[in-house]
Amino acid sequence: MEEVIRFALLGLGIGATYALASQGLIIIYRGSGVLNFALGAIGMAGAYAWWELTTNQGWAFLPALVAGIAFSAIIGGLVHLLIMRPLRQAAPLVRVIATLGVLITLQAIAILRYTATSKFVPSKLPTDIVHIHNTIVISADRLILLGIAAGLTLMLWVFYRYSKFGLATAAVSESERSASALGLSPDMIATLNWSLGCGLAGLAAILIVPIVTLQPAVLTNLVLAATAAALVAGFRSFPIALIAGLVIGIGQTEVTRYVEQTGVGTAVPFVLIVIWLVVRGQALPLRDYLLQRLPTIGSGKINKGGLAFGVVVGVFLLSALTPIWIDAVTVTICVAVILLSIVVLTGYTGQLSLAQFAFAGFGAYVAGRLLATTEIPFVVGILIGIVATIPLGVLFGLPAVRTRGINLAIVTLGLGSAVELVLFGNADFTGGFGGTQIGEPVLFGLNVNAASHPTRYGLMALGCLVVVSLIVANLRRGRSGRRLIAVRTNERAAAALGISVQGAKLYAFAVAAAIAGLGGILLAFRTTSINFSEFSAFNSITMVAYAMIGGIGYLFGPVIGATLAPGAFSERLLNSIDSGIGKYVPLIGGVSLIVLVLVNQNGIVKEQIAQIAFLRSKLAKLIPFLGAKEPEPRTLPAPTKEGTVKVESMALEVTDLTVKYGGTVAVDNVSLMVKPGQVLGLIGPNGAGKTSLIDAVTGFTKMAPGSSLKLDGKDISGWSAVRRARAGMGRSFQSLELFEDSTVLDNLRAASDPRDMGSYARDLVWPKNVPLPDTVLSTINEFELEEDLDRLVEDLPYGRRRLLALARAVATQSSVLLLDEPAAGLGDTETAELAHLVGRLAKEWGIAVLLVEHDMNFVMSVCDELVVLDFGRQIAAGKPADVRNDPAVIAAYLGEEEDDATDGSASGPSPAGISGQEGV
Amino acid sequence: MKQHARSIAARSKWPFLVMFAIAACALVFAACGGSSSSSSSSSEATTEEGGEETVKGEPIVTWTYTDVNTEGPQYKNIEETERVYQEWINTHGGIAGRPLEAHFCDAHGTPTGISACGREAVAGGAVAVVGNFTFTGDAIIPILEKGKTAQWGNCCAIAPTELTSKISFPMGNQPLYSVALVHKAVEDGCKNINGVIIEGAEAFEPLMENAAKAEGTKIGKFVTLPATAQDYSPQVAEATSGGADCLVMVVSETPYIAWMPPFAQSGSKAKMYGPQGNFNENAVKGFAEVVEGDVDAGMYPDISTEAWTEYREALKKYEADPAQDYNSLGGMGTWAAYEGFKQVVESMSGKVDNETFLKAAETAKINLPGMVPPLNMAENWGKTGGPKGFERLVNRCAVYSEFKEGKLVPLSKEFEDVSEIGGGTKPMDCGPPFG
Repeated sequence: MEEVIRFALLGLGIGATYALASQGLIIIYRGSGVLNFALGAIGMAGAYAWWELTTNQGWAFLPALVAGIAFSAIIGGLVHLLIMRPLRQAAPLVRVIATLGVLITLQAIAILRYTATSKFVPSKLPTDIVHIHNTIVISADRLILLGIAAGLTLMLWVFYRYSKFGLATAAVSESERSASALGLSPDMIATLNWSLGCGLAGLAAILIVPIVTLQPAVLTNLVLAATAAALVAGFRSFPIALIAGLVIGIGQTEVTRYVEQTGVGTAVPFVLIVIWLVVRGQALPLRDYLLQRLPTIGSGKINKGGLAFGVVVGVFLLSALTPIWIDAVTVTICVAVILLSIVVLTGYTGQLSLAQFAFAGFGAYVAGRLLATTEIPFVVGILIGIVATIPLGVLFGLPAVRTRGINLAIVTLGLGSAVELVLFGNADFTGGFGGTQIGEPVLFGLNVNAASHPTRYGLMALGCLVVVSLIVANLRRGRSGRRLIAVRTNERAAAALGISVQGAKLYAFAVAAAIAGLGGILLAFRTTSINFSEFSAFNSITMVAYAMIGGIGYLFGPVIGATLAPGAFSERLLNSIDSGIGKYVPLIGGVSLIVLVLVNQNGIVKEQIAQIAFLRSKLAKLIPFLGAKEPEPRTLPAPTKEGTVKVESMALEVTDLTVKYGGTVAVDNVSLMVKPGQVLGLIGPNGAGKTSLIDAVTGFTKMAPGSSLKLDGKDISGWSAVRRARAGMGRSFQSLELFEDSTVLDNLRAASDPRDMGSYARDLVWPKNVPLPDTVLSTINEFELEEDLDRLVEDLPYGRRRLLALARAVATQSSVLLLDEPAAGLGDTETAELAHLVGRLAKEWGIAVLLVEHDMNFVMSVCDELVVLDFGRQIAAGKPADVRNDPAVIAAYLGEEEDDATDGSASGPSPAGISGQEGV
Repeated sequence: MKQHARSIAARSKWPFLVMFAIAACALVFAACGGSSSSSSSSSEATTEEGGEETVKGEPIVTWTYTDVNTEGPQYKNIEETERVYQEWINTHGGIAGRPLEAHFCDAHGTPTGISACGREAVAGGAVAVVGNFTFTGDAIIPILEKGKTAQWGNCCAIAPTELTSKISFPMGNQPLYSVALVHKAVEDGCKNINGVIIEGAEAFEPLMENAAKAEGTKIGKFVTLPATAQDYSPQVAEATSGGADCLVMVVSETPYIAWMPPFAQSGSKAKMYGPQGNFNENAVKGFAEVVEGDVDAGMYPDISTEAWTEYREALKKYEADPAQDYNSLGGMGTWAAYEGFKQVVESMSGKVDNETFLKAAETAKINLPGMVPPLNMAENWGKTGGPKGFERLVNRCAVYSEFKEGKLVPLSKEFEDVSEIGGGTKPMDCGPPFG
């Protein structure tokens, strides 16, 4: 027991350092919503400044300390002003990459100036041993560090809770717009928080360096553990971060002491991250989840001429260049394969994974160990290595079901780190002193050893790149690709269309893992003795950076991004100009990354496409055949059946539905029934609970016990949103939630595609689109969308987008449609047309429609019956004429609307309806 | 409107301009304080220097590689030694009367970097790659094999293929110094020995356990030290627990620097035994009292001994970077490697190229008294019954130093064989005393 306590005390020292670092992360996150991966590097800069002043300039400790902290604070403020502020509307991925650029740049500067050699720094704190009991001892400086961490935590808690600045920070983190309306400057507050957080990192670094030595990565290595502590604290609570940091430190120490397996102790924070996020996560994002736009994606169409040209160039380079250059081209190709996995996972599916290099390493590990220890042929070993990575991908993808955005990034980084620590860095698993020797690889009887036959190996890698590119292109163009993009753009809308968000994410992780595994095998097998140390977790971050630079949504983006990897084409080119440039490559890379992220978040390829198109248009005047071909006019087939399409008749029965948000009852025992061919209107003042009811009925919000939901007589109360959608229940959203990056036709196809699992495999090879069902063809006719089919949704005017939202819901061939304010923002004429349309959907198609609307003209003209809610309770139900005369209804809602209608003036939606803001 | 748009555009350019300015300042700032490391390609020495006549004629071309510009461990001492050796030898008769043209290649600590170095060397017509060190040696061996180019004289073969490939001719004794550490600890009377191993070096553990067994004792426990420098208090506590009186440590220099403060604070009196070049004066700076009497085991006698006189002179004369540690495996290893290379070339008759050198190296006998034991490349461990995986090891002799008032002073006056306890084979002739 004494031993346990002793090691727990030792862990407190480590935990205090984690806690200090995590406070800085929290301050910055609270003030600006950014997870600052560069925090450690900025703190390191302050530590070096302090060391420079005390060691080389002879300053006393305290003034140098203040200067060091100020240095970090200034860097933090500048980073926010110059980099993060211009990126405030950018996607989380982009902002993470920007902080990575800062990290790389600062570390490169430190190495250039001070080298990577560790420097011993004597402690200014007392280091006497404090005896607590028998063998339980701790050095005084650890206790002081603990005291500083606790004291700072208290100060921060008080400061952010009671000071004006703290309250302003809280306001800004809740709502920037509202805070601005109150006269607060979100930019100023964010800048000050960045300065404060980075200053704190500087203090942490200066205090820590006597313990861990002064070196460029001094705090960066702590960032992951600090992130774990900050995550547990919800990036909000300083006291919880302190406790979490201490618990992590103690946990690591105890595990390291009692578990002999290498790396397990160090992996403790990462496991904690995963567990915490998965337990607290949400299967689907909440209604107010900000859907920040990811960089654009390509169409997946293969330019055959371009592909042929690329292959010819590749073959030429691999045949004609000297071995040094061939190796550089080969490395570029191998990394490009890995980056294609990021296109699938992050580009197409929107999952921010920082584990691709872990997958790459795992593929190399399995294939390498098999070839080193058995007699299986080379090709078989590779195939097994690729396939073995798939379950790992699925495993890593499981947390993605309940986490998203930056949280998912941290989870995957943590899992990748754990794989690196426990597997790649463990000699017991990698072959001991003998390592992993795979011998000379032979492919179809040909020796393809990269050392002796660099051209052959390069051609093999090129062949793999072409095949993988075609697979990814097929995926993009097929049904699977539409599902992934739907999930990427809007998980709620995807679920409402019956797309299994969970299935799509796991599929994406599986495919991406397999592709990365192949890339890792190609990269590692360039030598016959496999070195797993290159598959480090942080390299996964740089891989995402390269993918972003090239274009994370484009097939050719990886090829461009891969040229920046270590040992790849760009480095070879720079070294050939002057071998002394090599030492500046990391610095050039870091600055380039920042600039590229600021200038073009969509990547170089997007710019290239635009430039090529411009060039073609100019050259076409001289050489006509160079001009872009006019797309052939799309002709839709006629419906297979004559006359109106009828859907399967189903009734929706809601009994005693209650919805609670914490202590607030949003919907209180509401019962209603929607019959086939009927339009039931659900009306009520703002905050009455209408949208909450729709969310609950469609499975996006939990119903309280006692609520009952039946569809066509079947009890579906416990069904997920996806299952309800597939059973025949469709909906539209107040805020449209269309797939903006996709065309109108793709939106409709996403809604109507069959949901078979087979397409996940088939699309990789043969992405065949099924003919559009009659419902969709009729929908296109009905909504007059023929001319818009190939237009991107983001290019449509508002009215057309409203129509498309409804059309998409109809395209799901649902028997029951729940429409949430479909006319919001429309003018009188458009509203009237829409009302007519809704009426026809019910009367002619047989759909049961539940309609939420504020526009009383619309409601009165199309609804067969009405239900009125007020403060979550049903206050009236019946025919429209009866309801509008009900005194309770008049009092609660209809009074001012009736006056407007009497005046004959157009009664558009209420201001609340236009804004789409709905209370609980 | 246009004016407004222009001013917005102008304003939005501000952050970029400021950033470019900052980036430029960063470059200047970094360059001002940084050492000027360059992957220098040495040119033929044909001009007179300081009154000494330099050798002329068709040069003997070599390559030396190591990691200099990298975020990991850096070995600029190897680069500097290669440079000063070239300058020195070319004013002292050259190699077989011909000037040495030694090229340096920075491997940047990556497999792709080392591969590029290998390809450069082969393409550049290197007679051999001499006196190298990198952690990613596996990436270069296949290239050298294809190019029939010897990797000569490494102090510290660490990659598996460096210990098994027919083109590898290490002159150092790695990993056998770990065995030597155990042997010395037992010889010094240690009763309760624990091992401390840096992450990634766990493969040393079986060698050390076998050595302990051969010495009639055992290693109490092995404590793994995480490779990234951090608070090592828990590892110190674990390693010194159970009354350990001696710690046998296979740890590199950077973690040693982080290890010393918590070890000192723990108050432990355990004696430390560590590897030459890593458990060094830089690593223990500020802890002279704590390491008093602690022992280094390695492969090269201390640089202060007579055999290294010319090395010391060359370092001074050709202004080697004083910030580097030359009393180290990298520094002395590279010098010894080049001296050995010289002996091989001078024993050859006829054409000197990579293929003829490779052939000559296979049966080369190296006699560098006081630097390394007599080495007969034809009698490597593979030929004399050594364990699998260490076939190319020739040097199975160790030397010891100890810390006195923070400085390393030689303990050994002769090389001591560890073949028996390391691999159960008969001892090799470690040569006469040198001190």
